[in-house]
Amino acid sequence: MQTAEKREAIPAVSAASNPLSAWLFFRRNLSRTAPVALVIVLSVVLIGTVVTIIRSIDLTVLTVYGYNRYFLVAVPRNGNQVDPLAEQTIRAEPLARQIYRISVCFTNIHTIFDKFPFVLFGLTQEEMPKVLRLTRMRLVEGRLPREGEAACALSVGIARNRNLKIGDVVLAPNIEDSFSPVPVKLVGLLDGENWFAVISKEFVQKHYFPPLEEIVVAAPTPEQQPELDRRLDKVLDKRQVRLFTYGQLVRELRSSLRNLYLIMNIVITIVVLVIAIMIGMLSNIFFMQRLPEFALLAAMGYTRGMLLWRVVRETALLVALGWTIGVLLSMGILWALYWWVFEPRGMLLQPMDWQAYRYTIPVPIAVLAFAAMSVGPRLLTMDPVLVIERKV
Amino acid sequence: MLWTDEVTLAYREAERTVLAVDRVSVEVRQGEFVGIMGPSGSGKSSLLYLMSGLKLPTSGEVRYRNRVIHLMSERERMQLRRREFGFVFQQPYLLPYLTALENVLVGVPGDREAYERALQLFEQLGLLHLATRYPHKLSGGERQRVCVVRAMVHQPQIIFADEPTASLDHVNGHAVIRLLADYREKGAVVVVTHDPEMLADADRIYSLRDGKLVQPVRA
Repeated sequence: MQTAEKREAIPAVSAASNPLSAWLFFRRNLSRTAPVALVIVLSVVLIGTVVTIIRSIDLTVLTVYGYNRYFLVAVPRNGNQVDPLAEQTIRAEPLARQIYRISVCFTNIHTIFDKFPFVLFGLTQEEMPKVLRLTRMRLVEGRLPREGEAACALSVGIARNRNLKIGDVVLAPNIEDSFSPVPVKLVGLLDGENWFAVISKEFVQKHYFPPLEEIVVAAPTPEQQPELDRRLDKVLDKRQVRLFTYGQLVRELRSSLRNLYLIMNIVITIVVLVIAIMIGMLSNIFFMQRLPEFALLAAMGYTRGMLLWRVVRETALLVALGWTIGVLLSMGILWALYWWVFEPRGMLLQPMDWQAYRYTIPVPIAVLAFAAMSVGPRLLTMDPVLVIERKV
Repeated sequence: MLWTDEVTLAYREAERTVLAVDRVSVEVRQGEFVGIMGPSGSGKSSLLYLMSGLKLPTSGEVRYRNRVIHLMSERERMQLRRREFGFVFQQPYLLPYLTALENVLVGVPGDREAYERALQLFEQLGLLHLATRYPHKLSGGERQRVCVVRAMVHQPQIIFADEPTASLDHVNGHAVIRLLADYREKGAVVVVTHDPEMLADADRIYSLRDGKLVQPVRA
């Protein structure tokens, strides 16, 4: 080969590229960098998926009972009906725009943790369209239950969750967790941003004992509902009536999940620390293997600061890549879980839950900090001549 | 250009003080090929480290272009080593994950002119076919020649070579020494060796024994 041809054979990229670039080191040392990146990927996947699944409890509760954003429910404590004085107080409230006296019965829905009770709102023929409008639901298939009919209309989500189709029995005497003295069939499917279920008020009052009557109270707009909830909560006698509001639901949910989140945070902290210490130790071993390289560069005139910066850049690239791949892989796994496990069962999961991925951010930060802390002091005290005399 | 004035390097070993270099004065002039000879443990490598600023003297001083090296800041010394000095060590160490050409460029990353110079040097030395090879594909002699190119590529004022032929056979050793000797046209070269044959072409030779300068073999 002629000289000119040989020169042409040398990749031109060498001219512009930095032989000490972090990316080049990563690519050319995959036997070292890939296992470390893999550990970061796996820890991010572990934390990302577990936190997303745990946070799906929140999502499930707030979606399943999300209708409560549009109204509050007043339930009698000392009888079958809300105390007349309490009802008067409710009706006197200026923000109470829509008031319905309803009867309810219950079914159950499946979640990844347990069965949750779900209310079927017993409404009159006149009230059904109004309450569906109020809760931003619409009928997408079939019809609404007729007066006194042993039938109900459910959200598409509930039907999928319970694996029901139109014509199937939803409540029956032989279904323990969805009891009804008379079999109740599914006649219509609803769709909207929440889950909702309606049944004939007359049917509930006739077949359930005692025939409870509750009051639904809605503000003129959903934005005003929290204010209405606060006002009624202040003026109503809690010995007479119990209020179910969205704010209360959120508070109770946060309170009941507090210990779960505490345990989750402890586990995440332990995982992050273990991973960070492990990778810090690995970095140390790799650094010792590369000692001649750093000694040579120091002898050639690279300052310790420049060498430390190089280690930081290499580790930063490694953890950034590991974290990014980890997050993408978590999303992939969660999307697969969502499509193949959760969605067909009508269970809720948000694969793109950024709040959950925030929990993975300490992984790269801790790894970078531990690697810099373990390698930094060695680099700063390294005597290049000693290393050169021994090895170079 | 560079000289040492009664320079001493002492260190503690067990309970006694060892003088690795004992009041040595040497001089390196522009365009010279200077040899430092002596048996093993005579302090010749320590003297080279003192001259190049890799170690600081216990007493005496090393001056480079009228600047006392040990009075410079750490950063200035680093810059001096990076820009004005070149190094060749006994073992031809190359970064294992970089090609020969990339190894040559580690001291001058992103420098287009240095890249062109590196290619020219590879070409002049008949090493162009090795430019894209990784160190494990090079022989010891080839590696040491790449190390010499690495020491030359930034056109330093002085190249310091510590036993550059120690791990090479006779033929490769001479080839490397010839390369270094030729560099005196551009600057100065200081070579430490225990083999007098390698210094046949030297302009000046210093001989050390037990850390002391015996006498200039050739002045």
